[in-house]
Amino acid sequence: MTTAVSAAEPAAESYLRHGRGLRSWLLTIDHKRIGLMYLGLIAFMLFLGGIFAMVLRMNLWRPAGGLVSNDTYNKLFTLHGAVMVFLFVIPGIPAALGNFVLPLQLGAKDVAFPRVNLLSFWLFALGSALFVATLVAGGVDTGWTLYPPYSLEGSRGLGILLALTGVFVAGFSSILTGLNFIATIHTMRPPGMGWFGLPLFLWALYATAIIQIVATPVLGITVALGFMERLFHLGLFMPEYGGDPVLFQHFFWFYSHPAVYIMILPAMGIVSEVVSVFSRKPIFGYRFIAMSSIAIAVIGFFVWGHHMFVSGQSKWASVVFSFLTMLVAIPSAIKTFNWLATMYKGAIVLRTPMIYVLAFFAIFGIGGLTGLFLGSLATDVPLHDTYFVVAHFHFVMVGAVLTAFMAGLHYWWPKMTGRMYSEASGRLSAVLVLVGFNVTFIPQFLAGVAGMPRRYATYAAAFQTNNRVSTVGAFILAAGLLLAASGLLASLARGRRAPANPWGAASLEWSAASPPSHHNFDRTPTAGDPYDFGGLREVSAEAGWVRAAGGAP
Amino acid sequence: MTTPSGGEAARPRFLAEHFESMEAQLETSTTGIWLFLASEVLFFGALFTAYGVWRANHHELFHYAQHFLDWRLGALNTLVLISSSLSAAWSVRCAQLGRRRGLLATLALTFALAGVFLVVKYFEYSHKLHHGVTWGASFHASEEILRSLPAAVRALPVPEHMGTFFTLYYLMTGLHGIHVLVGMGLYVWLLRRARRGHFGPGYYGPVDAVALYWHLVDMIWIFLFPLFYLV
Amino acid sequence: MIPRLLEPLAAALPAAGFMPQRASSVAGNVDRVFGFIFWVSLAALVLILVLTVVFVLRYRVRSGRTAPEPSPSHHNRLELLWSAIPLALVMIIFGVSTAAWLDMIEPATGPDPLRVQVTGRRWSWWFDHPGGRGAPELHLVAGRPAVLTLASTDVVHSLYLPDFRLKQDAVPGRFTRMAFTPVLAGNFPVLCAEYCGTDHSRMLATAVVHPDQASFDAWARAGAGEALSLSDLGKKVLAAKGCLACHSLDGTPRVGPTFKGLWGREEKFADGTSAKVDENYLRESVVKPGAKVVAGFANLMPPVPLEEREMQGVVAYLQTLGTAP
Repeated sequence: MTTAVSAAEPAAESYLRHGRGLRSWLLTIDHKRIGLMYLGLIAFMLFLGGIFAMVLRMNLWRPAGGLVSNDTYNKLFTLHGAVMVFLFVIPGIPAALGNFVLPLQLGAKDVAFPRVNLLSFWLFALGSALFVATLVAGGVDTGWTLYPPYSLEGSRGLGILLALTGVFVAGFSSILTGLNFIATIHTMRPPGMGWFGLPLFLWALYATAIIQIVATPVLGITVALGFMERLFHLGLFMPEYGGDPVLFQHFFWFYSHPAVYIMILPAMGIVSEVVSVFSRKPIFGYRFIAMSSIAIAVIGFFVWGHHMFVSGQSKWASVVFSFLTMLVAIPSAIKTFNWLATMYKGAIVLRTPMIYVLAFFAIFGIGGLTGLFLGSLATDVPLHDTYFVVAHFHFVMVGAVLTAFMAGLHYWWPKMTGRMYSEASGRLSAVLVLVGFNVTFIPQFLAGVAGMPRRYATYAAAFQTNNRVSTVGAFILAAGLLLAASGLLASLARGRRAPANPWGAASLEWSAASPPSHHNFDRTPTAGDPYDFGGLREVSAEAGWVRAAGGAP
Repeated sequence: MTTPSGGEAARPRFLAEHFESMEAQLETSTTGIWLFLASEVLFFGALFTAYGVWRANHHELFHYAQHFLDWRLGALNTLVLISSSLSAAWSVRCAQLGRRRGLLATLALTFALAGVFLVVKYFEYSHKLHHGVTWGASFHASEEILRSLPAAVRALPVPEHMGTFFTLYYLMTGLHGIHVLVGMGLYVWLLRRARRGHFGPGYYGPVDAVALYWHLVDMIWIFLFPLFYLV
Repeated sequence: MIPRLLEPLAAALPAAGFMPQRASSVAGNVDRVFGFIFWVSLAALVLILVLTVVFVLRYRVRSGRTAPEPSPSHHNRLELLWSAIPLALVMIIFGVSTAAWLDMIEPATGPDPLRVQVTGRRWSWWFDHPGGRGAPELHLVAGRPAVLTLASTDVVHSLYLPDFRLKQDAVPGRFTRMAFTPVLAGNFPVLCAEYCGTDHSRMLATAVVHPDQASFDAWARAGAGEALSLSDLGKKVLAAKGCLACHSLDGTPRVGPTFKGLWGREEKFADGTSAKVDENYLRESVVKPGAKVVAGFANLMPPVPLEEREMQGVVAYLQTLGTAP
């Protein structure tokens, strides 16, 4: 069998048809199906969190609010934050796209522990269900950061316990995914693929998985202790029982700051793949990019205290945390310039994934650079807990991660579904997302500088213009995402059949059929350089790209 | 189920579909179990940190409360767990050498010692619960148990937050106890498979992995014992 | 000093008109650091965006250009360069900002700062001023250093003064502190910046900066005596709880150390360590007397549960008993 033949004859025994009925999906141990199930669930969570966000934005249309009560507003922003952080951005790229792509990029048949992978999915589903259940139990209004004493007061009932349990369970899912990925990358690389032959997406997933394994157990214990504190008055976090609320903040951010890198590292991995393929040039400075992922993962563990510059932590602790925070900027700068150097003298093809990546450059640039204001001590004091922070972390955690996620989704969609989507709607959605995002969040920087604190259901009249522009932007952003979703879903019904290699990429997943067979590859492929585009040429739009040397009939 | 081809009749029975060879499978499962243990260590590590912070804040409480725990029972359990770890290590050796009877004996012994540990723990817990030595606000030590304390300790007033010490105690030893229970379940599973002759020099990954897990459970106890019973 | 050189950068900020007034001694420096970071990051952002756009325009695939031109796949010296330049820039930012911050959190307050006890509670602020005047708004004097001691009676709040460029959390169970000198007379907003529940966004107050001490005194006299002042309350608490049986007010050591001149004293403890007596030391000595035992005294004192306001009173009263030289 040859590449050309498998390209022309897709989906004869694709993984989508291997086994039928609901049971064959819900109990599957095929990483591709698990990835798709994650994708479905995560997309739903994005939708849910997005609905909450739109209600928040509409309530902020007028300074006095009034669309919903203050309490409802507080519950909505709590759930918006918790759902988006724990159920969309953290699992988004690694669990949905990573699960699908990782074994394929290794030329493997599956992840190292397929049953653990299924368990991980169901734990995630259970965690999500617990979050949704908090809605039924009357909601939680603690903020996703769950700071005590407010979050653990004696008057709180079932809602907070469900939320804590939800975080705990979803955390285990994350640990198991990380464990699976590290074991897979360590032991299942194909012959010929050394560590520096890994596609950069895998380096990113590897660095992410390290953080998942090291940081998530601490989050698990933190919420478990919070649970105990609420039920048994442990006296660890609550001053009235002899505890220290700032200790919780340390525990919480020890996980939740590295969690930001759980979100952004895989996003950077996708950007590395896409920018190289659509510039038709090997990635520039492979080793620097790979090592900067690891550097971010390591340094990222020692910066959590920058969330607490005004909490009353010791002076020198703040100075050290500020210093280390500044250092994290370096690996990000390296990556950015290396991506730009990859485009230099390339042959840039402006397909949908690449346009999303260009949007990523702008958004990540703004998000990363505004981080400097918050990592620096003097400027953090006035800006902390204002809309400047809200805008900053939305740029990094949402804007950058979301554009990279969309880039990855559009990049691997033909591989996942065997269908090509409409380029027109894809490109337009990317532009709308870029514009909508900036219109939403740039006014929030200004509001923050002018002194508008975050988590305010009502605000001073002076901020009305900022908030109105921001709300309009949110609608543009939502329209962009809905357009992207409809374009992708329409492709399932009407899309042209995708060839094995529609983009001319060189990593191994593109040598499997689109969609791949149940076992991914009929024969274990031999790994080459994942960024060697030399021998590839485009036969036609229908047949895609094939390697000229070898594999010819 | 469809296998890629019927030609490879020599494919070992316990080789999962997605691996090329038993060696690759073993290497993967060993990597996986070590990673799992790393996350377990961090999990308990966070608890030990909480313990450390609380102890630093409530020094006197820990000195007082520790007299409610019987160090002899703790020491007995330490001995029991260390022996079980030895027997677990021996079971791996037996599996690698294909000594089926030795394997069955050591697996059963490990299981039995884990059971002994839990029985001792049961007596400790029930004694405390019976005398009102419970968690949080419900802590209400009976006169009887207060009289049984050493004279020097009896002279001191009962410190505040006693219940909190015992919340930590029950939380940490309880979580450890759950790990022991899970371990016993795993040994039952291993015993059943060993009886069917599944393990041998070519396939001993599960025995190895469970033993590694068991050593970790043992090690956590070796930290818990001095921190609660002795210091 | 260094931040002063950066003033032109701050003055040239496009958002300069957008920013609140500079109403405190620290605001100028904060803005200068802000201005510096702003221009550095704007330059970096423009560089990234311009390169992106130029590369897309020049190197996009079009008729006559279908293949990439040869160019190196890596260049260690270049890559080190674009690691080193950002590193140098962020280190400069770190240095400038940290220097400004260290001045900011521990400013020289002079011998006689205006001491205000701030209490956050859901959902309002309460300010106890010297001379016994408590008020829902904060009163300060332009040009006179102020030391604010923050506490909370329920959950974490954060005292935010945008025009002063200052913010500090008020944490239950401990005291935190904010020190600065107001420089402009007038009324300025006070907000809560740490989420605290239903009416978090309505937990607002006003900072009234009097033009001179006389104006402040006139205000303080007008309302004093309506209720017990904090330090009078503290005096009553010490008597009522029996503290004075063991702690003298005149300097004689009894069972415990004397209260005279206790505030600001460097205490040596039985375990060899020492610490300066401040509000958090006093709180700990009341709640957990055994935690730090002063050298030469026995560990005999029982913990004394006090209401938050009683605790603030004790601290305020002990400050009136003279400061160690």
